[in-house]
Amino acid sequence: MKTVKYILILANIFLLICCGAFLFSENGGGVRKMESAAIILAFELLNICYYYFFRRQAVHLSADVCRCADNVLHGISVQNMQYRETLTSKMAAELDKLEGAVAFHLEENRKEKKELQEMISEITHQIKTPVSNIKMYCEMLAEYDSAWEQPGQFLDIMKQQLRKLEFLLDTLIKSSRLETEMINLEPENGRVIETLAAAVNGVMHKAEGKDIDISVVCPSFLRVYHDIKWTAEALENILDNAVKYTPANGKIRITVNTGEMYTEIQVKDTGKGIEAAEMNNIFKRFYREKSVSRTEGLGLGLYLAREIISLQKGYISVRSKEGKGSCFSICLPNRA
Amino acid sequence: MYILRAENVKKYYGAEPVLVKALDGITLEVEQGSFTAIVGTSGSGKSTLLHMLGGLDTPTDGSVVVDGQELSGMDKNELTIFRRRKIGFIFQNYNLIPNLTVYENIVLPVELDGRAADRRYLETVVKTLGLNEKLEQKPNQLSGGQQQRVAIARALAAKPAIVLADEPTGNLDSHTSREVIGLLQTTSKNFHQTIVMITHDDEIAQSADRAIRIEDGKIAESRWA
Repeated sequence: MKTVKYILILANIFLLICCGAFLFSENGGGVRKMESAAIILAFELLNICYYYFFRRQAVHLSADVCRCADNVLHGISVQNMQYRETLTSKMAAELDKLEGAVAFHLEENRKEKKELQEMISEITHQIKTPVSNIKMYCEMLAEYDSAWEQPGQFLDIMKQQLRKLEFLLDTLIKSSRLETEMINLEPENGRVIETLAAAVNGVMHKAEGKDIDISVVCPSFLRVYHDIKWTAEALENILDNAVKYTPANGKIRITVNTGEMYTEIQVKDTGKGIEAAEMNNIFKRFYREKSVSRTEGLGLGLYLAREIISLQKGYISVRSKEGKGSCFSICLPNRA
Repeated sequence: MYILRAENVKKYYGAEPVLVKALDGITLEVEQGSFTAIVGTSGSGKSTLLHMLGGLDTPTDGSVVVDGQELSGMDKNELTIFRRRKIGFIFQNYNLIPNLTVYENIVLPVELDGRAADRRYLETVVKTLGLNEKLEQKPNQLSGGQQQRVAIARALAAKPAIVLADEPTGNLDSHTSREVIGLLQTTSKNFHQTIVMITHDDEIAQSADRAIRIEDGKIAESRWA
């Protein structure tokens, strides 16, 4: 920018010298000479005026922009200058957008922090119950009196509580690893049917216990970029839920459809369904529907499932009618 | 934080004996970054409401405030620029320009504003929408779902505060519809945009953060999911 400025100034000086040389040179008529010199001088003057005019414009623009930036910084709206067809207005609009984005991120961070705090209190709450149970039975065992029932019963209860604790910690570790990105998902062009098989195997035992029929419809050649191990885990969590909330002799159907952008794995059950008001909450950490608070569970399964799928740039959606069953769609992008 | 607020918005057509109340006192607030679905039968006034929210039409009475700006105080030119910079529109019939390529269609709103397109941002948008290989094609060489994806990219190109969609899946089969909505949701989440969408599909409305049912120009039901 600076060199351009100097070149222009030099060019102007050069023109002036030429003009002078022309004026005092020997040949040519006097009047003609004066005329040409006047024209050249006039151009010269115009040139200088132009320079100052545009410089002033640039100074004004930058002053306006600085003022806008100051306003944005102090949280004063720059609305009044946003909707005009001028350069300043364009900049004001961009600055306003920037401010909006920053404010939005701040708000998001605040929300996340609050969620985290709630989560910590929830975790401690969840851990406390089994621990205090174990403690109680331990104390009872210490005061064991042969006149009491067999100690085996106590031990069984303690074992059960320990299992609960173990399960809780296991799930927590998984979810925290996923969140802190300690786990790198390794998508490969794997066969969907294998992932499905792994997931179904995980819940087969439970399903058989309730006489629930699980059917899978999936072309065996179908491949999709996904992390087989973790996707199977996500699917297993969803299937586990389906089994849990489907009454005995129910049906679970898994179908796979390929679309233009996504491959959709549909898990449809004949369970109790989800209330419309609960629909968006079910993916929240530690969220449990009030009506199912008696059924075993922590409210981490679906949260984890969604986390796994969205890390792979896919998404999960649910459709459900109360009393008629739910249908989960797990959508994975066709290309990596 | 509310990005959009409509207060007691009314739109009447005609005069007393044959007065048509397209909108009859609608008050609603939309939170930033949320996905709102508006449902209702045809003729219930949902399209009119969307037009009011986007500054495409002016209400008979009441006020619409978008991103802190009251729309009724603006003149026609200001409104045009407002729409160009703040609102992204998606229509049922895509409204792509047939003799421009996909890429030209997408950057049109930005270029109309006399700005250079933010290439890095556009690249991510185009990639999430799976349009990277279609950029040089003309819209009529694409399928319906692909065309609507181009329209979504165009709506997002100017980084608008709000995306207004009028039955974006009305012309698509149910499977493609779900895909388009899924994409719309993921992209808007990634780029922190607010969506207000009209739909007659209850399934789609179910997946929204909030569903509003409009009947006879009034809000009949507002449900937070």
